[in-house]
Parts: sequence; structure tokens; C-alpha cells
Amino acid sequence: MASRGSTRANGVGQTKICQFKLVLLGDMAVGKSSLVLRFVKGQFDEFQETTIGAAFLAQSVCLDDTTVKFEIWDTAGQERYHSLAPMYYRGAQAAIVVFDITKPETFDRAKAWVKELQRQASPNIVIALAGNKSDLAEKRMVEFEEAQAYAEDTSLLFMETSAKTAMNVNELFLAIAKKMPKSDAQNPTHAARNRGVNLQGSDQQSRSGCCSN
Amino acid sequence: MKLDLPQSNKPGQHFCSIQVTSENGALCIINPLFLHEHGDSWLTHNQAKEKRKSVPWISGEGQEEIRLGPPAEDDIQDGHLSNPDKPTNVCEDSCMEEPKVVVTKDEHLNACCKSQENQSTPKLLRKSVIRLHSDPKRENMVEINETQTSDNILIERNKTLRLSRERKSALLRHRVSWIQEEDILKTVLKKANSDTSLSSSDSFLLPPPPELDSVSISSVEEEGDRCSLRPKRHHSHGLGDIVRHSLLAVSTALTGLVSPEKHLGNRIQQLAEDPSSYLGGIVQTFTIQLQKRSVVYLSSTEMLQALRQLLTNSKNHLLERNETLEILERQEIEEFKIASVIESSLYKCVLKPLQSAIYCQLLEMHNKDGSLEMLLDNQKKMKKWSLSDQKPRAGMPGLATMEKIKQRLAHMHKAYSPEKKIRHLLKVCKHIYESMEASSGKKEAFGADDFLPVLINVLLECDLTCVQLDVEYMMELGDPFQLQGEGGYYLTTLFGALYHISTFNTVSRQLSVEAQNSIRQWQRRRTIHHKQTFRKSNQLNEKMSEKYASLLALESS
Repeated sequence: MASRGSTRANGVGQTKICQFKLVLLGDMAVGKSSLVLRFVKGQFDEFQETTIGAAFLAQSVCLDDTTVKFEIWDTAGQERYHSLAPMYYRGAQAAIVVFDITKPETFDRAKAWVKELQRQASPNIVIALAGNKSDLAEKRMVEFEEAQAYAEDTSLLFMETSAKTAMNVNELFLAIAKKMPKSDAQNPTHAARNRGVNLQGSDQQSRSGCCSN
Repeated sequence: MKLDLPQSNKPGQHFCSIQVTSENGALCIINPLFLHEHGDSWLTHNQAKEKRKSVPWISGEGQEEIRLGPPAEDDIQDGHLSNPDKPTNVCEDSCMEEPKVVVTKDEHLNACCKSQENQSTPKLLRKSVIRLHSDPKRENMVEINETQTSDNILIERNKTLRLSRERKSALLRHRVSWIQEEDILKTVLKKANSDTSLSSSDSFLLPPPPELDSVSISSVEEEGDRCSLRPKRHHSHGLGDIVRHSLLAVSTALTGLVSPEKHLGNRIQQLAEDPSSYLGGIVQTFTIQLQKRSVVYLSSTEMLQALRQLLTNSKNHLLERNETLEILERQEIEEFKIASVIESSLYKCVLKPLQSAIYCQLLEMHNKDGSLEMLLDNQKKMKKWSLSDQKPRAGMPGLATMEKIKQRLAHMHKAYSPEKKIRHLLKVCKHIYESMEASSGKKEAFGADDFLPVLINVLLECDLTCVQLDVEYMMELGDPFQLQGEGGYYLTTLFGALYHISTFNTVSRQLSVEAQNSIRQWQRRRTIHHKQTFRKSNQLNEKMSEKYASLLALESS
């Protein structure tokens, strides 16, 4: 693990690196990992870290003067593993709740996840709702408007995506990246491993946002 | 053992063969410098007795094995001091040894030579070795010369010693097997190019590659692991004390050339062993407490947290020491590396000696609270159940892979460094992914939906008692920096899998309060540490002193 972490930004002006834990939730077979793989594979290799499998992936995106690095934690969507989910979303700064637009029960399950996250996860967690498999429009069972209205009500980011055609995949992650807090104080996980870039020296006080739960 | 020498050679006839083969066919090289100095009559001398079995200064067959695993510390000292005629673990730990030990060993060498040799040479040698050891950075050129000099001196001495033994013993056999020694040397020199012959001492002057792994204590451990898998080798080819001692001296000299990280590690070890130092004081007090059980911990987590606190305090103390700051000022070790070098060294001097006591107490606690029994019962139940129902979508590993996985888990259990344990865990997961891919027939990327069920089914076939202890050990004792990222993910997954097994067949859809607390505390520990620059540590200690909820008393609720 020692070789992990990025050195690429060394000496590149004022580029900041922020690292976030992002958790993927959603029913089994809604395309959680396909979505992430599409995102990871579609990016520049330079920003890709080799991982042993697709349940954990790491990918960075560039955003103005900041490199946002996501550590993406996939969860098993089977109902019987539901009770393990808190282990994964604990401490996550972002979550994508995925459902399959062709299966209404996955949308119900997504709503349950959102509720649970809002109740139990970090208070500042950025939640995105993804209606996946939008390429299967002819089999659509969950209307776009319905999902969007729900997302607005619960203050979520929402997009319909297709891991197959890559529609909205990068856009979704970029939208999340933009919503992530970029100040050091709110990003407790980035510092140590990226010491090549000077991120130290800022205040230590307000880590409460992410870890006080 | 056979010498590939022309049998017709008459005693006294000089020839310049430098190739000698041993019984097992290994090529042996004699330093030509030695032949140049002393001729090779000693090689052909006493040919008639060649077939006899042993030589006193060579370990007899079956007398002793070369032990490739990491030796216990007292082995080294006792071995060298009290058994001068027995083969000793020449190089195993000599890198890690302190200068004073080097002196002791040289004194032993002196003692061996006393009867024959004038005392000036050994003294010279000792001096140069010590200087090399203590002053690595400054005199690179001098070091090279000195190493070579000491090499020559050693050869001189080998010869004299050998002659003295010759006289004493009728059973003479001359073996100068540098190459055979390499296997042992590898463990010491690790990446320092051990496939060159020792006689070309300058080849060892290459600095080790700057990658962190090469200097971490756990890489030593890894070597040990690997070595221990090999069948034990009998020491039949006979390496003389002299050769061993010369190798020892050379390798000791080389320690002076080993990385600053290694030196820091040695220094920490030294401090930890010194009860008058701060580090030695707290380490030894804790060790005694744990071993004598003078402190009663309410839960396993509490015990492990106390130990982690000790590691953290020690690390912070070491980071603030002037010595460390000087190292940083001289830029001998990069700033981002130093904390991890210290952490690894602390694992070695704190966790390594305590590991079995920790396991023992954890086991006791979990036997008492019934959590282990619950886990193992459910393992049996699930095993039956998973045969008929709930087979994972992705294929299970075959027998061969399962064997590899079990072996890897055994290594994981054996490792004392939490970091190293996590690396073993990642390898287990990699085996699982590979077998999933192999059984699906295509290079498919499997996410958690597929991975977790397979992991759980794999675990059902394994020794869950060990895995349970290891998970706890890693979660609580690991450096929070290392518990991030991929390692953290798969450790969480392993914890989750065990939790799933131990709560199998129960109706609750909710995590038990204990499990939730445990995860929350662990997560917190991982995140709060990241805000900390290593010189500002006091806040952390306060946080760390919180009592944590019991990690594994999940079922007790």
C-alpha cells in the first residue's frame, strides 16, 4: 500500500488534491459497479490506480485547480447483506444511490437507502441518485419526472445514466466532485498520503463535520 | 562432498583451480586473492582423507540446520557466544544488530584466533567494522576501501585459522563455498544484489532501491515467511565458522552501508530494549503488564486500544526526538516516509514479542463471551446451508486456489505487523477475484454483489478463529494511515463477512449496537488521524484515550 497515493501533482503549481470516500448503494444488479467501471475506465489512465478488483476503485478527476480523488466503495446489494451497509457508508463523504429505471422495486429500495443515509451517515454527505440503464427506455418503469421530483424533495443530485452508453456517467461524478467541500478542514482524508503537495498548515479545528457521528 | 580436483595432484603442486563443487552440485568459488597469497596446496593436502565425513570447524551433517526463519534474539547472542564451534545463524539478523554486538562477535573471532595469530589484525578489523557501522554516510570511498581491506584480512585470517585446525584435525575437508552462503545472505542483504560473489565486495555497495517496502521491517518478515516455506536444508555442505564469521563481518560492515531507514530501525530497537529510555520504559512496562495480566481489560478492544495508544505515543515521542529531526534535516529519510519507518520499527520491537500473548488473551476473551463459539457454530450451519442454497453467482475457487488462500491466511495469522497482515489479506482477495474471473471464463470486473458472497463462502472453509483474531488485530492495531483505501475496504469487507456469518439465521436486519459502535469508533480513528501532522500529536492522544466499545461481542446483545 505504500506505493499508493499520488505524486503526480508535485510541483504543478497550486494544484490541490482532495480525497473523498464515495460509497455505492443500491439493489443487486442495478449496475453499480458497471457505472463506476465506466467512469474509471473512461478517464485518463494517468489518474487511475490499479486495484485488485472492482469492489474498490480509485479515480481522480480534475476540477479547475483541484484534483478530486474518489475512493469508491462498492456494497453488495443483496437484501441479506443490508445490515453490513453502515460499515461501508460510515465516514463516506459522498454516496451514489443507484436504481434501475426498468425495475420499480429498485427505486423503492433506493428511497430506503436515501432515508437511511440521511438518518445515519455523516451529516454533510453528498448524495446522488442515479437512475441507471437509461438505454432501456422502452422498458422504463420509473418515470424521469417522478425520480426527479423525489430528488428535489430530498435535496439529492439526480441524473439518469447508462453505464452501457456512458450517458451522464462522467457528468454524475463531476457534479458530485463540484459539490464536495474543497477546503482542507472539511476533508480529513486527503492529507497524509499526498504529502508531496503542500496541504498542511491549515487549521485543525473543524474536522467535526465528517467524523463526529 | 567431492572436490573436482584432479586426483593425481601431488601435495604441494600448485594449480589455480577456482572451481569446487559440493555434493549438491553448487558451484563454489575460492577467492583468487587467497590463492594468490597462499597457494592452493591446502586444497590438495590430505586428499586421501577427503572421503571422511566431518570437519570440526564445519558443522557435521545433520548436526544443525540452517534456520531460515527469523531467529529469536537470544538465539543470536547465545549462539555466537556460547557455541563457538557450532554453526551459527551468520547473517540472519546481523543487519539489525547493534555495534556492541558486532564487537562481541569479533571478540569471539579473536578468541578463536588467539592461539595462532598476532592480535593486531583482528583489532584492525574490528576497528574498521565499527567505523563502517557508525559512520555510513560520510566516508563512502573510505568504506569501500575498508570493506575490501577487511575482506583481505578475513581471508588472511581464514587461512591461519584453517591451518591451525588442520593441525588439530585429521579429518580435513576444505570447503570454501561462498555461493552456498548466498541463500542466507539474501535474507540479510535483501535487495542488495546478492547474486554476486562476496569476493567482489564493491557490488554490495549499491544502495538499496529507495522504495519503502525494501526498508520496512515487514519486508524482512516477508522474507522470513517465504523462507520458512522451503524445506529445511541440512547443513551438509559444511560452511566453516571462519567463512561464516568472515561473512558475518562483511555483512556487518555492509550494515554500515544499508539505508538510513535501517539505522533508524536499529536505533529504535536499541531504545526499546533500554529500560532507562522513555521508549524502553513504556514498552517494557506494558509488556510486563500484558504478560502478567496485571491490568484487567474489560474487552478485547480495550486491550488492543491500549496497545495502539502505546504505539501512537511511542511514535510521536520518536518523531519529536532530536535524532529524528536531525535525520530529517540531513534529508536522509524523506519526511513522508519517516513516520512509517518508525511505525514498522515499533511493530518489530513491540508487537512481535507480544503477538502470541495478544492472541492468547483475545482467544480467552472470546471464548468467555461466547462470540467465538457462535461464529464457529454458524460456520458449520452455513456450510451445510450453502451447499444447497444461496450459491454465489460467481464461481467459487477450486481446490488449488483454496489451498493457496488457506496458506495465505496462515501467513496473515503469523505476521505480527498489521500492515503486513493487510497485504496478505489483499492477496487473498486477489486470489478470489482471479478464480471468479477464471470460472466465468472472461475478464469480467466483479463488484461487491459478486465478491462478498464468494468471500463468505471461502471463509466458511477456513480457520475462522484465526481470521477473527486477525481482523481484530488489524483493525485496532494498524496505523490509521494504512487503514485507508483498498486495505481499509477489504478489511471492512472481511469484518462484514465475519459479522454476517456470526449473525447468520438471526432475524435482525439492523447491525447490533456493539457492531455499530465498533465500526463508528474505528472509522473515527481512521479519519481523525489524517488531520494530524506528525509533529503535532497531543490532540490525538486525547482522542485515542477514549474507551471503545467492544468490537466483537456482537452476539452478546
